[in-house]
Amino acid sequence: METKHLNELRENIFKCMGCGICRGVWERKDEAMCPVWATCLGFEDSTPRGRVTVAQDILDGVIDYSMPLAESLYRCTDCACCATTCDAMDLATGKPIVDVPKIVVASRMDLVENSLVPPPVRNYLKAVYVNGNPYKLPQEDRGKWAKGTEIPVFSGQDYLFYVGDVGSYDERGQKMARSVATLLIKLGISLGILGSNELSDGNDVRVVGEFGLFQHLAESNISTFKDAGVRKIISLDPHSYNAFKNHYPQFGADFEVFHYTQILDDIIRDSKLFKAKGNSIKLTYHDPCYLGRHNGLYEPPRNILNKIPGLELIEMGRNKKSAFCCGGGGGNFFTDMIGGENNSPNRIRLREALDTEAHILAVACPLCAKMFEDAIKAENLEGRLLIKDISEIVQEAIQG
Amino acid sequence: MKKDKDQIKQLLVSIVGQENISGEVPDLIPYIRDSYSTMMGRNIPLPDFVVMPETVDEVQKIVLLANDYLIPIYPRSIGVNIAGSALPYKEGGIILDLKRMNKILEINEDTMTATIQPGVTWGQLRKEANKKKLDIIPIGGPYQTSPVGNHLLTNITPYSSKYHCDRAMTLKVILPNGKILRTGSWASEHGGDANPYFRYAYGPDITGMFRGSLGNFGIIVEMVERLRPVAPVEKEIAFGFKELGPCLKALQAIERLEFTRTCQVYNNILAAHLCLAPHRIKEPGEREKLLAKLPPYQLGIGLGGTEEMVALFEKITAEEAGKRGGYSVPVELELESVAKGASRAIMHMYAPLSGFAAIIGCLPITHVAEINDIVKEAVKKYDVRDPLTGEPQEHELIVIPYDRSSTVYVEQEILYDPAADRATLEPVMQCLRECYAKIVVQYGASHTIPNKTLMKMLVPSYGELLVNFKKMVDPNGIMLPGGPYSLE
Amino acid sequence: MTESSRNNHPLYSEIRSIVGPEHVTVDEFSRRAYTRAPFVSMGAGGRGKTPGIAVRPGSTEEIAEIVKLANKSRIPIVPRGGGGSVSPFPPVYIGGDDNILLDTQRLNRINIDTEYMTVTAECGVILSALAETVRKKGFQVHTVDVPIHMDSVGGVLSGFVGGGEPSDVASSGTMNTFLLGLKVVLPTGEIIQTGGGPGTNIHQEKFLHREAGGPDMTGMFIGDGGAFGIKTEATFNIFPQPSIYLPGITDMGGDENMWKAFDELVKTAPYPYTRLLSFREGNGPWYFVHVIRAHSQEEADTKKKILQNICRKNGGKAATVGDQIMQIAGMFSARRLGQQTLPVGSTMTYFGEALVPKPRSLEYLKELNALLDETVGDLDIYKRVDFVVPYLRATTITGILLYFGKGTTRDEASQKMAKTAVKRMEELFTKYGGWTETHQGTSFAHTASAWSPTYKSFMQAIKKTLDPNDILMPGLWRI
Repeated sequence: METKHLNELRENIFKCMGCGICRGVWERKDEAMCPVWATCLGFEDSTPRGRVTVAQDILDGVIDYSMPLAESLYRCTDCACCATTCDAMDLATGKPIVDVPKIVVASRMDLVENSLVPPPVRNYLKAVYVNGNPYKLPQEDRGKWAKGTEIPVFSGQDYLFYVGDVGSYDERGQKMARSVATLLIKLGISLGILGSNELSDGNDVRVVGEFGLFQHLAESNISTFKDAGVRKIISLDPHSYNAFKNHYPQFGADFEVFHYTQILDDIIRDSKLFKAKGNSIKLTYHDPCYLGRHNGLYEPPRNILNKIPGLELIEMGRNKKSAFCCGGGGGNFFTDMIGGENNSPNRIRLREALDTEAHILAVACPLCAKMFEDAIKAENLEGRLLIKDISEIVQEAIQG
Repeated sequence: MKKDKDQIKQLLVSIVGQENISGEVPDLIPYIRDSYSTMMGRNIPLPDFVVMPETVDEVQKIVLLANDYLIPIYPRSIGVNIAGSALPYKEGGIILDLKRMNKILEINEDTMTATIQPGVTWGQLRKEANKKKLDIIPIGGPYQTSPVGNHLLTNITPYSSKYHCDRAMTLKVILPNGKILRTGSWASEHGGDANPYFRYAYGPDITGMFRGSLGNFGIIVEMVERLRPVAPVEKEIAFGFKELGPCLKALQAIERLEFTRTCQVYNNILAAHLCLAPHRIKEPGEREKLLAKLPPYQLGIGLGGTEEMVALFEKITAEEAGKRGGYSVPVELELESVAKGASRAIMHMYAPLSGFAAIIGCLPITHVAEINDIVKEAVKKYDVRDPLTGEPQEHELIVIPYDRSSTVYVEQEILYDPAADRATLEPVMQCLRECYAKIVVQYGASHTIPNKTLMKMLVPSYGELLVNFKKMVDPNGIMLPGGPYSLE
Repeated sequence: MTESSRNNHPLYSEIRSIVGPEHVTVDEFSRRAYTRAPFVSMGAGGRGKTPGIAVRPGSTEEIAEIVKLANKSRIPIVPRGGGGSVSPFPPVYIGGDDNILLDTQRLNRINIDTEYMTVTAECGVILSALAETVRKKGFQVHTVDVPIHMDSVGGVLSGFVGGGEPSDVASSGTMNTFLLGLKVVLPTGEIIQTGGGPGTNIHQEKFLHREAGGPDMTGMFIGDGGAFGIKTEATFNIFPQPSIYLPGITDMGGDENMWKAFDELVKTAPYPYTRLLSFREGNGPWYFVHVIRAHSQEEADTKKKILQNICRKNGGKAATVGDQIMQIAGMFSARRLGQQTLPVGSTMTYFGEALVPKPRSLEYLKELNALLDETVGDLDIYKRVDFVVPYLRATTITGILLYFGKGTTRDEASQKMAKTAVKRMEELFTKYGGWTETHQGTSFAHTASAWSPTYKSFMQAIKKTLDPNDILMPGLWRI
């Protein structure tokens, strides 16, 4: 079978020393850990090191892509913990010599081109291709989340508020979209939305290896944004943020891209905005992979939370660069290839949050929010820990 | 034996020479007696010969002969043993007395090791090592015993906790089939002589297999033993305690600071007997005076290092002991030498005035005070009297930690008159049996001497493993037949 | 064989019913993922045999069942821990098409007894997990530090000197120094417990002291390369953490100064260091990396003074070092294999690391460097680091770290040079009576060839006694 994309990474693949540090170690609760490995179900091939070993064999022609291998490859959540942990770093760039997430995406691109994707992935891609979103809901419904609010349509405002698939169609995501948009407007940000003219950003389409569809979505979005006169974009979703910032420029995008927490951090200069609270509430914050590890944005959400009186931010053992993935990345939010049952990544992460004895788990990503709310139900922890996004916390603090 | 005794004798004479073999009863009797067997009333069978080889080659030839004619062999190095370990189990056979193999083949200042034969004693080794500013890693056994013999008893008494028990590094062994096996880094045929200094090499730890084997798996004819450098300043200090519990807590706390060279706890009975031992009791009341002077329990610490370091350790030790009610006491001369290990004083405190029966066990430190009480009560219950004074006896106690851990070696001794008749000794026997039963069964104390009692305590699967190894190494069953790993 | 015929692995159904369907695989890519070991670049033979089936048992009992099955069918078993052996481990080379690969990493439970100061870890536990779990309770366990994230307890005890090279090897010896006992599944499927305590004493639930009673059978399974039994649990002593930890680095200049200081330090009683390592980059000066552990500042200061006096007396001075040197120092004393930055396309490996008698260490290093120049000198080596680590007082672990540049490892010519180097190194080990960390790995054949005939037949007898059907790691050491 074709191994064109994997072949492009040949040199890096064969430089892997095979040390296995990339797996992470469970008991080192302050160090990054591969969420697939943490589910404890995997064989060696489900570890980052194992994935490189398999890639070497594919390039050497010893083994070929197969459906079981595809299933294994699609369990990866693209969290980039392994890339952070790898000790063989390029002196010049500070980046890992062996970039396992990149290798996984390259393999997935080969799989797509060889038409060898597992059914859940195929169904996801088909939904996006046919319906423009993974929910198979009408395109016209994309802006329905804003109904009943005063969030305007984009017509030249300072910022385009881009919502993404989850924010547009998922109930929890919609709640978060409304909260962020209304808060930003309340705080004086001039923004508008595209509503049903918005297309899927394509980040997860790209990560599951369907580069052609991603290119189509990217070019379409870029064209729409340019036609509308967009110069700056505020993204609800870190996945979209990642796509716009890192992967759209190759198609001619030259917008300034922000995540909403960056804007909030910029506006909220001190605590004057907030009504003082008597008792201190403990909260902890989960770094989304696409905001944190992929794009280095650790401080804006923390800066915001630290300015809110009455809140005590307690870090989880694994935080910032070592934050444990909720399991929603790499397309898994839609395909659920990773599974894991009792040890699914979102449940593992939720337990880490519980260990801090916080009452609130703050999030900055609608996919994380949904993953954790599902985990709360699975762990029977309703009422014990509340999942709130940064904007919801800010809104409540302003109201008192 | 398939050949008759005379023919076997001739064959042995041709190996070791006439003067180094005997089959005469007066010569054989000393080899079937020790204080333990006397007290236990064991009837030790008489061997056919005692043979004293001098070289590895001679030992090898004897073993080959033994295999040919299925002659049991009971090897012994120096033969100082109080637990019957050097005694034959069955009638007939050869006592292999290795005391003529008494050469120190090498003391290497660079690697700090000594290569010795089985007849070398601790005292001998210490003397030679001291010439090169080295010393033995101390043990609790007396200076007349042999390092090789000591290691065959699972390195009885750890004594110097800092060095762990990993003192024997590599061995040269005559296997029961007569072949010569070298262990550890010595295993290499080519470069082995260049490097016999490392225990864990070339595969599994075979050295360990022979340690604690009591000779069942082969005859150790050479051993490379670790030595230690003598520190610029070495000092023994001691602290008295009124009660055992706080004394043990102090021992544990100090050990965990990782700087002691030696460390042990005695009760005053043992301390008094150690002090009296070299010159025996000269005047009536001498012992009582000493007992009144010594603290009920004493923590003895050996320190070593630069002057500054020793002063610092002394200060820290005093603080730790003080926190638990300890107070500084002078170190009696004999106790100082005991603390250095391999002391003459260890050997028979009251002997020849009395014998002592040792209740030995290895167990967690948390239980020591309890088992001390068990022995106290048992001695009282069976009215075991002091053989010297006829008064109610208080037993001796020594506690030695295993390298900072919670496990300690405990030895408790009850004195008796070895000349007494069986009826008089019976309460002593009952007392011992009861103590052992409680200490072993209730507290799971491990016995450090391989014997049949120990075998009964073993988990069956493990016992089977040992027996299988015995079969593998000694298919003809010539080494210590009838012993703990007997194939019968 | 195709994947569907692989499902016909003779023991697939039975193994599946023991461990559950999610813990057994015959997928080729899954099995192939087990055939690589680290540092294959150094002519270590690339990949090894693909096992016939990969299994992840979850308990000692499951392993025992699998072993019994294997005995009935005479199908070899190859156990595997963390897969972190820097000497490509036998799993890579041994056995046939139907090999059962036992991935032990689900055996990851740790139990600490703070009263008795012991830790019992299942043998799939990775060393950093062990160290961290113990550390959180205020204790420390004597483990290998480099590479702590790779090796499992079982793997490291099976390998190099039966316990790897802990960070405190200079003062405390290998990891098995404080090993109290092992739970082992014998090649016949029986489960035994060695060591003084529950295995050797039916009345004792706690681990006491390793050699309490009888020969040390624990040693049989240390450094055995997995050939004598499958270790499933290991119990170690743990000790309270000292409060002071003082790392340092000293510039020791040339060979003579360094050696005098090294020798004197090793002969000092007590050790004024817990950790000591000597290294130099290329033809640069030697550096000592030393760590003092102490329970009080006074103790630390006193030891530091002694250490510094000895170093200074022999020409040592405070080191002013740049990032590169600190990285190398960090690599040796830090917890991670790495903390190094490499140019794109490069890799690193150990070369000639062996235990040699202390007095001959520098002599060995000189010959090793000459060998390196002769055999792989034409490869793109951009950095070379010599190192000498004391192992207690009698021996040192001496070798070279080689940093290769781009493209040196995949072409045939490079591989050939590397293989020649390995062969010549083996001859060098023999000359010095030394042996290598790969004694149960790439150099297992050499190890066996170095044995005397008596030793070899002894090992064969042990193997036959324990493993009459030769199912565990068959072929290791050719016994």
